[in-house]
Amino acid sequence: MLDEERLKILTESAKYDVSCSSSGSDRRNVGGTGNAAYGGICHSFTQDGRCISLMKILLSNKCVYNCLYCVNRRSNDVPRASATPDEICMLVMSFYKRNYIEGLFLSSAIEKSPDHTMELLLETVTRLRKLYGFNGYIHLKGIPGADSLLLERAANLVDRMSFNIELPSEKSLRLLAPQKSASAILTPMKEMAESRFAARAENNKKFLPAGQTTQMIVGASPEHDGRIIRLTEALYKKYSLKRVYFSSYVPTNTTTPLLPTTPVGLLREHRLYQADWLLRFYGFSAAEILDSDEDLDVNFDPKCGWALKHMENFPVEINTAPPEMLVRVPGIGFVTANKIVRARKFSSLDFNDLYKMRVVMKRAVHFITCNGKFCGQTRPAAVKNLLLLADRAQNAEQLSLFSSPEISTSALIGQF
Amino acid sequence: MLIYKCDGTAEGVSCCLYDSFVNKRVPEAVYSGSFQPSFDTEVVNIATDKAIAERVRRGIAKCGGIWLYSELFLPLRSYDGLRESVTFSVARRCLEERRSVVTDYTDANVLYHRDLCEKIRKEVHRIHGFLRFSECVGGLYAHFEPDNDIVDLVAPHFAERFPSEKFIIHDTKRNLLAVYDGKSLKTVVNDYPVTVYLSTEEENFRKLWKTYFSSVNIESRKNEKLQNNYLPRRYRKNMTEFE
Repeated sequence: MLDEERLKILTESAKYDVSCSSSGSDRRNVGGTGNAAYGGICHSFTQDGRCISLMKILLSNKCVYNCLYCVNRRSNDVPRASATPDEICMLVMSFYKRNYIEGLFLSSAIEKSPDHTMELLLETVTRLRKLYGFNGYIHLKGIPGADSLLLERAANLVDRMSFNIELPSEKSLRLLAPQKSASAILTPMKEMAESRFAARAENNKKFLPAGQTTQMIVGASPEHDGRIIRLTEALYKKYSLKRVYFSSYVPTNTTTPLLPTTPVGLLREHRLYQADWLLRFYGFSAAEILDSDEDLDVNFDPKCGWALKHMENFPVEINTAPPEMLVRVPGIGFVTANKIVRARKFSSLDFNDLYKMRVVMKRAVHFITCNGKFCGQTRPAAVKNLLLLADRAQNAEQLSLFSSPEISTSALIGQF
Repeated sequence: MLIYKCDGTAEGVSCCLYDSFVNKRVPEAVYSGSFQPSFDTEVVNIATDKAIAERVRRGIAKCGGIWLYSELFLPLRSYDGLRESVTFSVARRCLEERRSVVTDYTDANVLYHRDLCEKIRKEVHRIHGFLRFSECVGGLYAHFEPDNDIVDLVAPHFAERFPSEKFIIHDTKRNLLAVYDGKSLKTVVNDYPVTVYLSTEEENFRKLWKTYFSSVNIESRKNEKLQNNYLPRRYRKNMTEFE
């Protein structure tokens, strides 16, 4: 049985992996324990506000690699431990039965060689599925450089696999993780995507039902947001990934001059995720969101930023606009757009109706008309100021006369 | 001012609907529990009649299928004081217009109805994650205190997940038990104190889970506001990791 001490070490080494989602798979229960919920289920939330859905753990944190950004790098002085496949399986079954977790997120440091590590991972998931009859969710980390036969076999057992691309460019990867190479990461990702496509064509739904994801560290290297978003888009298009995760860089006890000494802050990560949502659900392309040498605006979310740059597309008429245009309006999200489309079949909507349907009117008002009526501002500068003000009010912040030049003037003269 | 008083079940509200159409009168509100009457309140008690309720059920099904029926009466599981009134007025509109109006969000009652439904669905989803079982002698046991009356909506998920286990899910607020004996599920009202005997391993796993919970947290990203949004404090008293 895995003891507290080792559980602690192996969890603390695994927690910097961002992905914890248990969605995308509808695995049925076939005479064993457990199933998967397509939408995923969160079981708890830690103090940092992140969800616990899967039990995130490493098989071992004894690593032969020395990636500068990683806690488990060889040169870092941290306690080391490893667990046996059986110990992991037993813990998963006991936690799952008590409804603590939705499944397992299993990863490992490279203990001897990629193949050896992958073999252990494969053994663990094989045992869990075949011996323990576990039908819950499994997310398995793929080990770059491991034999593709091992990877394929694992893919037939688990719900999701991920190869972390770690850093947003090959150059940074070479600098900070000299033992890893971009091609070693991208090749298996590509092979998995192709195998999954082929399996689907033969109606084999057991091959990675929830697809692949990846993760990259933001802020440890100098790439602009524009580049990161383009890379993200390419990963969705080329490798049909389900999700790309960003993790803002946190210094992990490191002394190398190659890495920044301060954390990046969470706002940048937040903005990147917002842009990522625009790519995945709102029908935006990376080129629409920003240029490759640009960073996302800290003051406005990316959708607002896009709308402000493209005032020629607005205002849109709420009562006739197609849904894909409605969701492009700042202040209207997926849920509200859906409400609008359904409600306008009954009668035409006015501003009051929208307000009641929880459209964020402070934002939306400059971009919409209701039966031809317009109540907002048209000058981009004025709209910008009002949106800034609306955001401030939302965060319940005391407005300072000295906050930003535009706001201060507008507050002083009472005009926008 | 006219007020209907009924037993608060789907059948009870259905009988209110029937009375409203037959006697051509529209109540200001519908209640099942206590309420504050004013000077001019006229209270009509509506008795529950299964045959009438069945007629109303068929009438509603004609407006939008059996789906509409369960959707319309879902808010009756809510704790909200207006649940019967809102359900009544939306259902009345459906019957009157002979179509489903549950998406006409220009109607304040429909919006309210939707909000109650969403709250209930959200809580069911949350409880699927937040419920904590303990391994006891004879099976698994979990207790919780949901805002809405949802124990029978929550239980099937676990019966599917643990088909060979026996379990009891206990709503300690309403003293309702969902019991699964390894074959079928049933909900029973329970008036006695429940005693369970924990298995010998139980304490050990609780400890391991708490260890896991504290070590997976990233201290430098502390954000309790976010945690509170996702996991409201009222649920924590029934969760192992917050003991």
